Amino acid sequence: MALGEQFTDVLSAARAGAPWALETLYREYHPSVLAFLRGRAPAEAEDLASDVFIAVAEGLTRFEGDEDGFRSWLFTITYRQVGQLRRRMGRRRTDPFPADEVGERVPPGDAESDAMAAISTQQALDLIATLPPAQGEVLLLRVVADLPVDEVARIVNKRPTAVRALQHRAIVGLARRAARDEPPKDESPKEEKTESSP
Amino acid sequence: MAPDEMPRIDLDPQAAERLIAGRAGDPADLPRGAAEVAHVLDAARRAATERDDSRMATTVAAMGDVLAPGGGAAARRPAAARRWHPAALPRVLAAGAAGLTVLFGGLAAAGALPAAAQNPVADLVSHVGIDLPRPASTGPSEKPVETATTSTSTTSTTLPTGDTTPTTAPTSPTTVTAPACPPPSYEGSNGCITPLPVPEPPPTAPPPIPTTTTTTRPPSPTTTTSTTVASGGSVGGHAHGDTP
Repeated sequence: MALGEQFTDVLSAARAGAPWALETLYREYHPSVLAFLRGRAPAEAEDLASDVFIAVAEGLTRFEGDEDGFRSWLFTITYRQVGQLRRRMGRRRTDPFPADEVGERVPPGDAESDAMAAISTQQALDLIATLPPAQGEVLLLRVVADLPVDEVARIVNKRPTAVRALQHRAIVGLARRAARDEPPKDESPKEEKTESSP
Repeated sequence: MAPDEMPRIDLDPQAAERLIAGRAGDPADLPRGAAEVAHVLDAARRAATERDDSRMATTVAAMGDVLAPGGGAAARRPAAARRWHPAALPRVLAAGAAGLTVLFGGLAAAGALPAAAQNPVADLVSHVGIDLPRPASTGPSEKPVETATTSTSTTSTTLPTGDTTPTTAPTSPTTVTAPACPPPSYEGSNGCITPLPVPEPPPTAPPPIPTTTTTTRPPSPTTTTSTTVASGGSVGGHAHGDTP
């Protein structure tokens, strides 16, 4: 899931507008970008993903860095696209699922572990979408975008310790939802909600 | 499992980090609920590998357009609505200015501008060698271009009496016409030509006859003035380069 040594050549060719290089970048990074967007703005995920890659093309000649830096830059653009979408739509985020619907989205089974093991990718993203926005974004950037804590902290403009705290609360929240232990609304403190938008 | 039977989740930050990194280890060693979370995170991780190339062709083409020389804002956004871009503003302004120039230039050349605008425009363009009709010397309903297209000899025929310039032209406007044709008729190539009557203002002077041609002196401002007075403004000669 990485271009490795090819990255430099691909990047150079992409800057020159070579279709094969642009296609390589798209094939390499589009799945993770789309997965992140499906977890944050499912209805607009595909449109936003296209916008992200066009924004990448616009800034490609100015980008400097290696493949890890490119991934971080790519998800910075993605994160900001979600923020812009929220501002355009005049609301903070996609509507969370009602608490009583969360359990219905998890496939039923005799054993919870069996049910969770059979969970689809979309169901997993839907479940993450029930988290408070800041938690969900940090978890998606860590898991789906595969970014380290420091990079996530830079993208969401928080300190690394705050990111670790958010991801810990996100994991605990998911565990509680998986166990159907608690409603999803009382998870995060108030101040966290106010700074969750990018 | 009823909610009241669920234990509190006691998950330390290190275990959370291992779950996120996909190194949960033996589920038996995980706190309750953590194994289920591991499955959710694995599924989310799989989502990042699911390929959907349905929009790849259009998106890659749009990326190429952006990166192409001269490409940029106009080529982007196949999915989102195109938005107004400031780069288009200079082009719109230039096109608007060109259109206005053509419009008012045409009106000024035809003498169709109001008198208050025609004179300043004529003054302005006279500095660059372009002479436009002026409402002060030609009536607004007249066509000064008709006299402007005649030869330079026309001007000499309108010189006032007493002018010392050698000319065969008569000194009054009425003598512009050939003697054989009573006014307002004039002599054409096949005989007398009588212009059609014009209700307002009545035609007082027919087009000059090209045969009255010998002048060696360029017209002067006084020439224009006297022409206006003598001919009733119908043969003013501004279009030949003489100054007002």
